[in-house]
Amino acid sequence: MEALDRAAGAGRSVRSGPPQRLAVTALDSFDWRVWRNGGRLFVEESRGRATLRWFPRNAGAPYAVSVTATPARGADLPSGFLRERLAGALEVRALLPLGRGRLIRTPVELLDADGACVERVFFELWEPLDERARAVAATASWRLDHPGGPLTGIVKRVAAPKSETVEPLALLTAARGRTPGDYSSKPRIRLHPGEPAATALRRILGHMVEVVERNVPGVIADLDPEFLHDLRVAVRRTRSLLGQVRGVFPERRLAPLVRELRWLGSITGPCRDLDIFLLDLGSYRSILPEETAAGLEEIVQLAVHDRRLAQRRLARSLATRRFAAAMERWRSLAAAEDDTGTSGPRALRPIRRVGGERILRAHRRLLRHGLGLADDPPAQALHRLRIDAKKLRYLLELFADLYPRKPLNRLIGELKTLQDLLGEHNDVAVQKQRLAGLAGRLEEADAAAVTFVAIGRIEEVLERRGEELRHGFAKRFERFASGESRRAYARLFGGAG
Amino acid sequence: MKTVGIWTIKGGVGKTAAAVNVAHAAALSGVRTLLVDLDPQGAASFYLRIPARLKGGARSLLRRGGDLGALVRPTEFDNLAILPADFSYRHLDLELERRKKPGRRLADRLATLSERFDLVLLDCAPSVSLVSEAVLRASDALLVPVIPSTLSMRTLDQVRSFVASQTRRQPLLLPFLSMVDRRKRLHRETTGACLADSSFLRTTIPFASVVERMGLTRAPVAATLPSQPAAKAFAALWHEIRERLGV
Repeated sequence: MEALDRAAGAGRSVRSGPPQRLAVTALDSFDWRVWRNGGRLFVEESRGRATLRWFPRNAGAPYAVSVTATPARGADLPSGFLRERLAGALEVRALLPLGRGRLIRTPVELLDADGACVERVFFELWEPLDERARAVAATASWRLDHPGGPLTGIVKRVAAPKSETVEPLALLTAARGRTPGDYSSKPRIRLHPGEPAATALRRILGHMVEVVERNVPGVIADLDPEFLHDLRVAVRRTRSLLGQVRGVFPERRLAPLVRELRWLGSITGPCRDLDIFLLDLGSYRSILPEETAAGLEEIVQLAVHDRRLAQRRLARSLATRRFAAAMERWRSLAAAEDDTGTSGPRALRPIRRVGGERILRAHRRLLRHGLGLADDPPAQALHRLRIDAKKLRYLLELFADLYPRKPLNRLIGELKTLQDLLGEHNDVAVQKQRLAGLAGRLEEADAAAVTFVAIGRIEEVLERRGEELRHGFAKRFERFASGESRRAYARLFGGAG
Repeated sequence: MKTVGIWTIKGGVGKTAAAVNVAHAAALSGVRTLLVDLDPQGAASFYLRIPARLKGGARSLLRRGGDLGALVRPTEFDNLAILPADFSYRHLDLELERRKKPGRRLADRLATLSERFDLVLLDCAPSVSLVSEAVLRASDALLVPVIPSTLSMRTLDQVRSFVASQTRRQPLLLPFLSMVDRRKRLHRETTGACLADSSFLRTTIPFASVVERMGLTRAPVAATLPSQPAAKAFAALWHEIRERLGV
């Protein structure tokens, strides 16, 4: 302080405020949506009072608002700036305590001769806590609330030559083995066009098994629906990849894994279906007249009950020996040393060539199935087409690194437009089926009449939407199957190698 | 972003105290608030312990293309920033007059901050001038402090006709009773008459020594004595403004 005071210069003085002792929790979703949105969110607690403090990633001013409870989701954030900024980005993801620590913050002000504050600096001592709440080595840092002023130079020179400006989010989460941005639901796997197919596929398998492993604790603890979603996508992608790229791994090793992946798909399905059903039920509330919307309550209660059971069953399955063995099998195929001798005939071919062939094959198959359909196709045919489209999409995304980004993104965009229609059509069919099932059970339970009115109204809406989608199919498919688009596929993936 | 001007023709009616305390109450409620001190005396800057100096003075406040955000200073309170006053604001009228479309210049400049703030409060010197017109033009609402006295009521009428004479945008007029001394019979009677007028905000700000002491504490009342009636009154006033404005 004395050194600072001397350095402040004539007519100026330095004043230190009382140090604040705070318990700090870093909040973000498992996949860092707050951080990706350009900020960092903390709960600071002191003497029974909690403040939610958001720092922009650039040097802008922090935002603070007092809270009575730590928000668990975007919708729990206090109304105003934070909710507007973050609720949309978080969607259904939970805000999780990704790091904790203790903080001693001391404000120091540089005052002019009138006692006005020219600049303010906060000296901070951070003490991160690990999972068992044990303190990790403390780090001293400082933060200016108006960088660039006269105090900046003084602080750098006098007060804190050894300490640094730290990133508190990185500091707190590192104590728990996390790094901002270390997980994304849209992973990119760096592939090299010339690397042998077996090596490239192993890396993809390794990445996917890691995604599953990272999501299992969140699924078991039921933190939010995205853990299960990401886990299922990784399983489906892997299954689709292994099913389509044959001749790389020996059949005897592949077959048992594919069987276990199918099992994983089946045990995770019921809970995910109910997640989607419950999310969609929320959206029906707005389309139903007020007096009918009340009828949704019993349906929601029943679906929530079913989901709870499905989630428990799933959690039990994920704790079985069978699951552990399946993961081990998956990991070992991913990690296997180069077993060229026992690998399939395509094992050593460059991945770009193998990928291109598989993409073209999946594309041809989708075209063949789609072009054979009439204007008002049967639901079953659209369902099959949806699976074809999904397989093509997985291949395009997994091998994205191997092809020029711009034309590939355009093709993915076109496919996505088709998939949106097929996906929604499937959702409508599944919802109708589930509603019919629930209606039967509600009838037995002697539910209120308004519940059946609501079911009837939703069924009408779904019926109409299904028809619209079937009628819209031909036009949407035409765009996807256009000559230009086909030529782009041939150009991009045909001459591969 | 909503902009609220705090303005009247009469001085000494608790205008700056209201600006600082309402700004602080807004910031406390989680609204990103900017207080713009347009009064060359710089009383609002003084209360918030920020030097009443602006780099480049009135020119940089009004110069098109200049980064107004870089002149904004954080205060020691969360979510509350200030654009400090400068002594050169005594010529703000002349500075405005030299520019094209002077009436909307301030509004245009403030609009550049709309991403950073939810609320801008303009604390202006008591006068009728080009600056007042610019403030009116920039404001969604005009907060008018009124002391329950005959003279002050007359001033409110003048404010009303001045606002009505503006052909462009007319802000929502929000008069409120300021420095009310319940011990005075005149204050009690006039308060009743004013509150019969539905345009008046329901909250009245009491005459309180804690508000006068702001010159010594150099902080909003709620920051030093949050349980004082005056602190609660400013918070209530802010909540009323918030409701009327839909912030």
